[in-house]
Amino acid sequence: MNTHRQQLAQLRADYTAALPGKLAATHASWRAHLQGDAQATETLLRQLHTLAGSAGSFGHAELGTAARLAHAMLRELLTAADGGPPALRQRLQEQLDALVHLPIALAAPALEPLVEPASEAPNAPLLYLCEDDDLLAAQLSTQLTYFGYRVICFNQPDDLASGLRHLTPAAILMDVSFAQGSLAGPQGIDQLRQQLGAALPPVCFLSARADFSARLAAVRAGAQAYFVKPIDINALTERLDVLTARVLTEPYRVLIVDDSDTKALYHALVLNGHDILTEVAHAPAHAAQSLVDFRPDLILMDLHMPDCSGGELAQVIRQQDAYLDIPILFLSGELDAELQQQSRLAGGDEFLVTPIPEDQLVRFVIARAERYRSLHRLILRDSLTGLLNHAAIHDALISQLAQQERNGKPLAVALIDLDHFKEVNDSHGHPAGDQVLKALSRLLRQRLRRGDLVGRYGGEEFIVLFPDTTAAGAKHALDPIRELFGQLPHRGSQDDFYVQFSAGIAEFPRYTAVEALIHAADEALYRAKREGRNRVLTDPATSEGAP
Amino acid sequence: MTLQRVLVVEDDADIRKVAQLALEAVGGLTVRLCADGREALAVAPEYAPQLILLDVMMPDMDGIATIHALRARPDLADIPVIFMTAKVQAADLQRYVDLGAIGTITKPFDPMQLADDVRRLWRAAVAMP
Repeated sequence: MNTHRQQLAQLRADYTAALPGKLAATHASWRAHLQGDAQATETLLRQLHTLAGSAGSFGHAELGTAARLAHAMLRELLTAADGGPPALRQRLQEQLDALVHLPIALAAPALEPLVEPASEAPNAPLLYLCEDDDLLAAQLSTQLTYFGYRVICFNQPDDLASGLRHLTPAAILMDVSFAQGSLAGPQGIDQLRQQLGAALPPVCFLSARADFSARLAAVRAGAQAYFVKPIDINALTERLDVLTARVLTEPYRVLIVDDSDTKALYHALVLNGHDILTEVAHAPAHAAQSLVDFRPDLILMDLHMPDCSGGELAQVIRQQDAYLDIPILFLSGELDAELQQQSRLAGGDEFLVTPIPEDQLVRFVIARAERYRSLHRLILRDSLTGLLNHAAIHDALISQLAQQERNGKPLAVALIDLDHFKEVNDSHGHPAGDQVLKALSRLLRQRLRRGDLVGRYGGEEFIVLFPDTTAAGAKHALDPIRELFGQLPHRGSQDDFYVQFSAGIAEFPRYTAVEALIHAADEALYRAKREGRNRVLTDPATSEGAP
Repeated sequence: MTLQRVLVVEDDADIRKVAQLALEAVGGLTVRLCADGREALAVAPEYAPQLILLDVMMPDMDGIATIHALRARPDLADIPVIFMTAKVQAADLQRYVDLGAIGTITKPFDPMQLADDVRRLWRAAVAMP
């Protein structure tokens, strides 16, 4: 019963793959038409008509609409005396440029279960976009979905108001001018704020107007941000990430040291329920190994254990520089204040009396782990992209490999390198180059699984660790991201530009040593560059399909 | 009597593919594809479709010319024709009806919906005396 859906998905994928070529051909016809080639004009009309009539059937409704518009404009220009009004010619030029540059929403067939596409994640934030320019609305919503947002579009403030009665989005993107009035946007938001008060989600205004009165109206309407068109998608999503409080961090990791299986399990379950990863060490001696392998952000420790007390274990841990400041929370039924004090002196940070209400435990853990992370951020993270820096990801790879050795599952390592990045910096300046790096970082973090580790490996080089994944599986996850990224417009000094990347992937257990693994991935990356860039290659070359 | 055999006349390869999927796999119909009017005239007598889905805008011999040619042949004149077109103005719809079409499907069509729409139009036409 499902096979025809699969067939349809395949047809869509084929159509989508051929789309860039069709759009390029359309643009070529347009340029020839401008030179006066009558044959090209006929071709162009046919190409636009075909796009208008087919794109929608393959999941590209906005593209079809845009083509239909362009077709209509072209017909009008051809039938008008003396070539038609210059304004219409200009508009058609813009329309055709937009058509070729319209980011293509990849209606990709379902990825394998190993990878959860960001837009299907239950916490993909919902945005309401209120914009009367259909083409812009289509472009923006498509680009926003690349960054893991869901978007619902409305044409005017009244429709937005109705939409708010049904669902509350994480944020609202609002145009300033509508047919009703040049400040209808802020006025509409004002009204909504009077009705909904604090329940109104954060609002960002999008406007062609950059003048003071428009900005002031936006401020008075309680705007969180104001973006002038043409919209810089990177700046917009960066802002939205903050406003919608996207959690882009890896889950916290807690090491539980407790000789009681039941207690340990219970606490682990409580923490797992809040998206916190846990590992349990039943004996203090095992805790040391877990520290290296699991790299916890916090240790939850029973105070009384047979071989050595929690206090003693804390002291052992603190002997090592690397663990001087890792938070240690003691759990005990002990009510003796003196003993509690001693435990703290022994290196514990907190003393929690059991039984402890679940939410209290979680709150303590999160607060301490967060503080530890922030303090270590500077050491662990690249300041520009927020990704793990070279040293940190290298350490992570060592411990991750050790873990995979123990659990017998594969690990894929991908090295990603931007194509022609030097030219980006030369042509558009380093700030633009930085934006590209940040955009790729965000896209990787949003489109990969939470367990995948992303690091900045070099100036324009990134590294991704895929636990429990083969090279083929990692390629399957990275290829769509590569295509998406290649279609993201970046704001340049004169106009928008696009950047692609190449990647090489190697897997454990084919290579068991860190250096060998990285070297193999690097070789695959080098091959990708040599074979033309903008591709993901594995080592050794594996066929598509089964991971 | 139920609809089973359909002839699709469409010059765009992508639309042919998705129409076939929509009518055969989704709709359970038997489908024969043609790329232009001439091929349709050659294939129709032997294939004996119960319905012809006819694209309007085709190079060379367009949908209008094709339906004229079909009506001129006694063995093909009575086969119901549905036009497929991206143009949807009221004047055009009337024109297609005047030409003898039993209905119009607008492009782009929803592949999951096409078979239902086609059946509905055919049933309405066949039921009428």
